[in-house]
Amino acid sequence: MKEGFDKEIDSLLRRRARWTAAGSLADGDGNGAATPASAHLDADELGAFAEGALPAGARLAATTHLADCDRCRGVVVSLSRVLGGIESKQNASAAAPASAEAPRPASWRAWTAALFSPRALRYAVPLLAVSLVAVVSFVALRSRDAGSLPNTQSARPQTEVAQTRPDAGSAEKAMTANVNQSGVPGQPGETESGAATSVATRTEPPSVGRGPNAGEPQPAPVTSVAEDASAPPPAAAPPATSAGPEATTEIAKSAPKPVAVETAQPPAKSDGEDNNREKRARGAEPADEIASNEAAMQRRRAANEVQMPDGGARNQKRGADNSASRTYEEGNAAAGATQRESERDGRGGSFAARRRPNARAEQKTEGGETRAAAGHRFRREGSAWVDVNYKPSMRSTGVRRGTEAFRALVADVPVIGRVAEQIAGEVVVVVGGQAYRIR
Amino acid sequence: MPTDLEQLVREGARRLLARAGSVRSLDAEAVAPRVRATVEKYLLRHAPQSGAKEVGGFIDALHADELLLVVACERGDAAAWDDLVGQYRATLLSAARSASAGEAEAEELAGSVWAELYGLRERADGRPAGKLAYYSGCGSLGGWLRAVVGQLAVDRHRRTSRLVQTEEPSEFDRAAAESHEQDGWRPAPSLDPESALAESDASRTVEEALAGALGGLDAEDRLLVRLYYFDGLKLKEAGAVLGVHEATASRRLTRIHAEVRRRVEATLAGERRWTREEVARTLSEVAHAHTDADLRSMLAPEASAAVEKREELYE
Repeated sequence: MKEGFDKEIDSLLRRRARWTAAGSLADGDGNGAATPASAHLDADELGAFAEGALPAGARLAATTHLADCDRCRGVVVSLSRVLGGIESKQNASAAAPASAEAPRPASWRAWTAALFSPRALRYAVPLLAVSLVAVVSFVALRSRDAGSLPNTQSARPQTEVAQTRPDAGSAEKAMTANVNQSGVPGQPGETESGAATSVATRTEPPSVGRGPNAGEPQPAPVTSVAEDASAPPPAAAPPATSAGPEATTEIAKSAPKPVAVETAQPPAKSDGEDNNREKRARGAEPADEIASNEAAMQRRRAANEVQMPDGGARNQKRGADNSASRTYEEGNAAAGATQRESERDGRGGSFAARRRPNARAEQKTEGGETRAAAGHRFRREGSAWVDVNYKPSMRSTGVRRGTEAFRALVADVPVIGRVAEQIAGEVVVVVGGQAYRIR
Repeated sequence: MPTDLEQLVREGARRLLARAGSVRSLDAEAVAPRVRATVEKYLLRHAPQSGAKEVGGFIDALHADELLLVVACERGDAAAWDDLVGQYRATLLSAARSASAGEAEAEELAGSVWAELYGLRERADGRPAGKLAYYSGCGSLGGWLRAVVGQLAVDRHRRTSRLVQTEEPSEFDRAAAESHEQDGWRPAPSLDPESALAESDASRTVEEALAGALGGLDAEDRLLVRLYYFDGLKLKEAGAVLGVHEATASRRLTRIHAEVRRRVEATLAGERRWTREEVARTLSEVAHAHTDADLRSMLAPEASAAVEKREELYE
């Protein structure tokens, strides 16, 4: 297997397993045959264990039982083969329980030593060299291509280019961050993106003023909105951090009435003041520049529209359940949970998308070809369509169309079936934080 | 256990309803008992000191739509039953097919599961006592249904195989005895060298030390050993059961080897008073005897085929 493998112990264990199976050896370390039926794990525990959904304490208890019970272990093995499949678990090491992943110091040393062993270096060094050459070539080619671009944009002032670049790509990233945000307040590493997301989402409607500046002329706010979305200033991050989940809640609350977004406060006062100053400075901008800004906003809105075709009905339901959701909205974590759940259902989307269910199905953006299916957006990556919410760190399950596993998966997650019907070829779709690669 | 558990559960049930796609005419009062039972079963039983944050987080991780669907079915909501059958019929049949030899058997198994889900007996309040009462929402409903099918299939298989095991050997023995009564032939005693070696004291001592070492491993390690050595799973499959990558399972197995060796050596040196050289030599001999036996068993068909060929030549 690898260095450090103990052949003698391996051989002894194999012999013991064979003799135990043959019944010629008393099984001193536990045998499922002796387990009383009442002590077996129930189907709920087995299913949750196979899906990795048990809390740490319950998982430990289930593991202890499974180590000694052939019957329950057999069910879990068959479940894990069907449910996650082997392929999905390859990416699951990061999500495995901490107790399972915590390496012992000795094995860490051995692992590190194995990394720098001649056997590993024999392959790693040439591989690194080839990778380096490839990266250098790529960078050189890219820089040459950039130098040979037509000079049309250079005719514009540099500031204008920077302001009018909040294309669908940036809005899309902000949207993705919003959807993927866990919603649990205080989680490190997520607050900043959450802040950026809340800024971008809140500034989407071009007709909406930014709090204190609502009375200003129309073109100027549009420009400032675009600027915010393209590059949220770092100074806005700390105050917006605390406002991030609240902003998400406000969006959910005001979804049936878009005008209510006007009441949403800007993430940081200093941010707003800076933008106001810039807006005033740009008050005399030429009309064509304003028009180009509006065009950029149109593109960004169109990109967001495709995210959620049936969000309107969900919002109506939210309005109907106002009494229940009001309490729910008071908790920040609960607001994040709503976002997660709506994404899991494949019905998640932006605020703008909820207002415009009849969005275009397919479009080409500046970042590449994208299309929408069953409430999900996909971008073209090679020969595959990849969900914009897909991250390499996600667990992914590979299924082939027409197989039994595919039918079972579609039965469990119907949105996958709809996606597979609408998009031919290889598709990666993200549902409930899990990626499915359909071939 | 948090002092305000009731309040936490009620709030959690409200959040559950709020994030569900369809509340199916259920309210927090209808869902709260189920949520509380789940919290107690999976969280508080194993970690009684869990705080409000843990309880809230656990409830928020439950499968809201699926739990509400099941609760609605239990309450006799016909539309919910239609949804359940419509959404999970294929899943159930697929699981039954995986656990059955043929299509007819699979359909019969699936039918049995549906009957158990609905409930053939009645509870005190007159409603059917179905298996749906045991779904907690902790895992997915599809996974739970597959587990129900798997359990039922395993139980059936065990019943069947027990019947086969108790009948077949006696039939075989009787037939063999009848056929050899006439010619007086008796089977020779087994001369398996591995079995002979197992009878030796040294081998038995090593076996006992090995059993003790395996029993001293922690649960995850014991499960991995079980899956890999006893159940014959590949590392990739064993890792999948444990939720880790194949490479992680491999590294863990290597560490387990080291730990088992350390424990075995400590037992032999401490309790049996063997010297370090004796321990090393005995372990090596026992392990190699096993390897030799494996090789002999692998070569045995070829050897016997060669003997048969030689006999044919002589004839």
